[in-house]
Amino acid sequence: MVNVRYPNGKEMLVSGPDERTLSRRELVKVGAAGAASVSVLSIPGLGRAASLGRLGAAREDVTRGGTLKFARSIAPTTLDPANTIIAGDIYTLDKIFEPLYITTVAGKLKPWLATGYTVSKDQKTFTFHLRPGVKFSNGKPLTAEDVVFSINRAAKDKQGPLSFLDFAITSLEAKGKSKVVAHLSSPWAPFISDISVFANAIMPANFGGKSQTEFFKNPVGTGPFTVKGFKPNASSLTLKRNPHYWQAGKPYINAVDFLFVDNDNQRLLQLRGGQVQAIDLVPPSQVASLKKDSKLHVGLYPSWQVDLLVLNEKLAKFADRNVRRAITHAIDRNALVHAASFGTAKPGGSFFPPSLQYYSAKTPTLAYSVSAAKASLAQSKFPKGFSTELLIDGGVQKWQTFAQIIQQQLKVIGINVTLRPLDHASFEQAFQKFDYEMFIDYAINDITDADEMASFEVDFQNGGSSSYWSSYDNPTAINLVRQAEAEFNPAKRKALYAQIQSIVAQDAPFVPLDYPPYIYAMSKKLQGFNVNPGGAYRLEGVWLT
Amino acid sequence: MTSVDITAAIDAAPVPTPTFWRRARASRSLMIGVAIVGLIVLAAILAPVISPYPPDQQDLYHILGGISSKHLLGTDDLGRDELSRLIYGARTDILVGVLAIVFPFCFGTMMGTIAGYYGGRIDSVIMRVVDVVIAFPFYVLVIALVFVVGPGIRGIFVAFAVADWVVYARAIRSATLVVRESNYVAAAQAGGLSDARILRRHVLPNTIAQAIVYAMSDIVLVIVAVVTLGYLGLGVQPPTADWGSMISAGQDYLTTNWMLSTLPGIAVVITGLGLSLIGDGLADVLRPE
Amino acid sequence: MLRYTARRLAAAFFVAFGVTVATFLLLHLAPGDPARVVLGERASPQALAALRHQWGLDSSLGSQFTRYLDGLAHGNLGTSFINKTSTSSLIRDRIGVSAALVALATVFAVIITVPLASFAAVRKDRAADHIVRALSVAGIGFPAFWFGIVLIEVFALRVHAFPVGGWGSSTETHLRSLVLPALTAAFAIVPILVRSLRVGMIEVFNADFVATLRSKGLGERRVLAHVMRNALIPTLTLLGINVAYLIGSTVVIERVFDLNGLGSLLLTAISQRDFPVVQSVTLVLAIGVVIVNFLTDVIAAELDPRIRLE
Repeated sequence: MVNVRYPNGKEMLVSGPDERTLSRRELVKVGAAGAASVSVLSIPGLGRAASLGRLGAAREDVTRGGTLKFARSIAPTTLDPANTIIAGDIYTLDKIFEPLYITTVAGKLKPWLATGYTVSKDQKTFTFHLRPGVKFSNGKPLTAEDVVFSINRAAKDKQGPLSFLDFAITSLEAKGKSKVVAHLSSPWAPFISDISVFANAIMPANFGGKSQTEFFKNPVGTGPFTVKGFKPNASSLTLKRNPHYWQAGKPYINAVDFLFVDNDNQRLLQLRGGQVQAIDLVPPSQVASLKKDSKLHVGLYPSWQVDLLVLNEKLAKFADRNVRRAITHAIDRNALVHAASFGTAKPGGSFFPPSLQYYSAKTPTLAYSVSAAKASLAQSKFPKGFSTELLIDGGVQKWQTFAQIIQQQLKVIGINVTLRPLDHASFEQAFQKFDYEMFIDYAINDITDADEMASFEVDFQNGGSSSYWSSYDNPTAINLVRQAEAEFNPAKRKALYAQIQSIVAQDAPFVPLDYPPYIYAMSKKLQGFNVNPGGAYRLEGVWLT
Repeated sequence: MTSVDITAAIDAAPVPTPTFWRRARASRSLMIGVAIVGLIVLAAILAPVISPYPPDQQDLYHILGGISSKHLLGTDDLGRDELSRLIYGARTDILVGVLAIVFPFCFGTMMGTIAGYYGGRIDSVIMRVVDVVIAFPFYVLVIALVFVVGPGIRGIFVAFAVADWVVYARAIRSATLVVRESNYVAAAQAGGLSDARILRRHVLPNTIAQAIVYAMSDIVLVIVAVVTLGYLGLGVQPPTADWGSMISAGQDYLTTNWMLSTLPGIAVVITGLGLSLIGDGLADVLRPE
Repeated sequence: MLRYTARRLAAAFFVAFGVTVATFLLLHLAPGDPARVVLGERASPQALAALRHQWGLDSSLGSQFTRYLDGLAHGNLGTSFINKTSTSSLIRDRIGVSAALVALATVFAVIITVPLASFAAVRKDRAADHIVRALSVAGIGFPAFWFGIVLIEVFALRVHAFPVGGWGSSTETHLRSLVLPALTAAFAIVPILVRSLRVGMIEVFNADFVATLRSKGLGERRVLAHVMRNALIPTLTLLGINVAYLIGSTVVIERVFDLNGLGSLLLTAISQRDFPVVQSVTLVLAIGVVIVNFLTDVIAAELDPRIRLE
């Protein structure tokens, strides 16, 4: 990204021409991070900048061919990008459909089906330039009409779980075959991030003449792989190489066999037994023993996920700021990550994860201290402590562990917690109806822009969730969030978000418990595999030795 | 549920006579069974006294520790003492097991007696209901009920109350049918005794033996089912120490800390062994020569 | 015999209907909103209401049930809320796995039980008998899922005799994938069957007619055959009940071995409140149980005429 200065003095972030340097820099960053944490796939040729070439050009030092066997925990039930939020669906359809921009492994935006954009002076009109030479898997060229159709479809779908990200768009039009113009209702800084979400991926206009159901059985996209005859909830799915893929020479592999194994032990056994070369959702407890296996690699990829303990401010005891601060002080997050995540996660502090843009490491968080907790409680309206209930999704072992730890640690300061585990469906219903006292769940950013998390968790009126169902309502913080949404200057935005994080840390509406990474394990035969902080992994750049 | 122990006496001698106690003492199975179960129950009752640590005391920096002088059987994934949790687990599971069959036992026996004794329409209706409940695959019914009521002990009790009474009903009904035809019942009826008295004095004492024998193995199956529910995430909820959730929690560590899952499993098996021996022994004792 | 069969058939239909009603009620009693599962956390109340309307969840229980029955009559099992495909196609894809699992488990159970029980019955009260008895008694308390995990560790990981899980792609791999799960399921019911058959055989051994056969000079083998036929009946009934139990326990076994059968479909559907799938899969499983029970009753009545009088 490059700063461009406009005549009126406003600065803008625009995608720059020097993608080659960007790619190299990003790869180096990932390599360093990888080396520091866990043994990760080596990236051969890191020093040889020449071989990296221009965006899209294939490497020469890879082995081509072969089928990647990948065991994943959840089978996809649909390939429709605009109508799902389930990981099993998303990480399948994103191999078939691509958006105008993607999120890189480093958590930044990168031009993909678009090469760049220009923005009007009033910042309400964006013009995207489409990449030339891109074809769908049926050989037909990508045109502006296709983009308009796809994004309109996502934006207008009332039942689309992520359609809210497109709310700023008032209209889209195709200008010729390779330009798309988007009119926004107001200046909206997160717009490019919103465009990059998987829900806004591009498909042929009007489904190429087929009906919607027909189309998603044999979907046509610009992505590196294709699927024929999709069956929801099958036990496996084969993706074949797209011969028309716009990045010449890619994908390196011929096919991907996804096997859907929802039992953690089973997936591990299949990897160890050599039946598959990669697995997702590795339990943290297995990381140590997997690292000891000389044939395997463990990848710990920073995520945008934050595990939260949420407090219901509709109740008097949690409306009391001192009580919330006491609870935060009482939870030993270091011990929690040590025991519950086997040291793979980082202890929680700010409500932004460290990998998110505008995360501030200087956020004044409330450190673990039993004495500070007791002091805070003593200043509150409930100095003698109280009893309360902790609601969790009982089906997830991790939350059980967290809950038990929190229960013991709050007991020390006189807060008696009973656990209330519910099955997933009942759990979701309960907290969304505010039928809870405390609950544990995770918050996640789907896009690179920090606004999603900030507004969802802080903007009580407009965020869409009453501040993550905590009912936290701080007008100062809310104002700052709204200012940041319309602020295009990165330095100013950074300052705003730093302030927001500081206020939230001190008000403690929820306790960020930890920042868990995505953990994947793979055979050392698999090279080039990486996961971005949104949890997505691209497979056109992997190869099997 | 599943088995009906057909070896129990049909023409059982009425309950405890001197001969009964003599034969009871002579039955090796019964004595061994009582010894085993007795020991476990004793340990469960004395749990607060004999456990080296409180069962939910965590030590987050010493998780998954092996055998040591401080922890005779190691620690679990939250640093809690395994030995203490095993002992407290006995408390939970035996209590849950025994309580869970109280309703099925009583209700099932009552229904079976009524169906077998009165026959006719009442019998048909009751047996049709039994058929419908039995037709539900057991785990499907239990899981569905737990989803309705919620996981945890309450769900388990409700699930077994609904699913388990039927086998008692069937077994008691068969036994009642036979007793109904016997001489002394005929005599009592001819003598004008009320149904209630006949049932209480002549029918039930002879049929209940079957139910008691079956109850012994039923408790075992209930404990196993609770353990299985724990595996599916629907059983006794943490932090309560219970063998089922201990096996489930220890499952992730089979390769490194195999004891965490194995010991509770062995505890289940031994308890089951004891109870089954009691059941077998009782069946032997109650069988006529 | 015909009348008995007809009576059992009528009872079977009644039971199937009863199961349908019970499943329907049970599901609608459960808390949790399927619309929310599909639309996610940020769904607007309007979107939720629209989806519920689309699925007919806002009409009365009575009319929902009638609609379901009507669909059943036309062979339509409804459309899955979550997968958006027809429930019958989901069931069709998976029923083979579950049926094969139950069938193979039954075969294993019989193959293991008969020799073991006869072995123990013939050597009554000797060491071998005690060992078999102790093992069967201990075996009842064995959690099947745990046994399955042990089998995987030993026979799939250490000794690469069987795949670690899944279903495989060819008939040969299908069969190999079924061995460990079927063994696990079989071991869950073998202890009970062995106990019953052993006792049955002992009782028959002591019966008068056996003494008669022996006095007539019939060889031990032939006597054994006679004994077996008579001892078989109560155990046969028990086998029927246990196969029905097996059908239900596929839920757990499929989880352990990652088999894509009806059991795992049911478990997922329950947690997602996918009403059409839960209703139909429960119905299919229950009908399986009904069929097994019906066949057991008829076969037992054929072998033992006394039963027909009940």
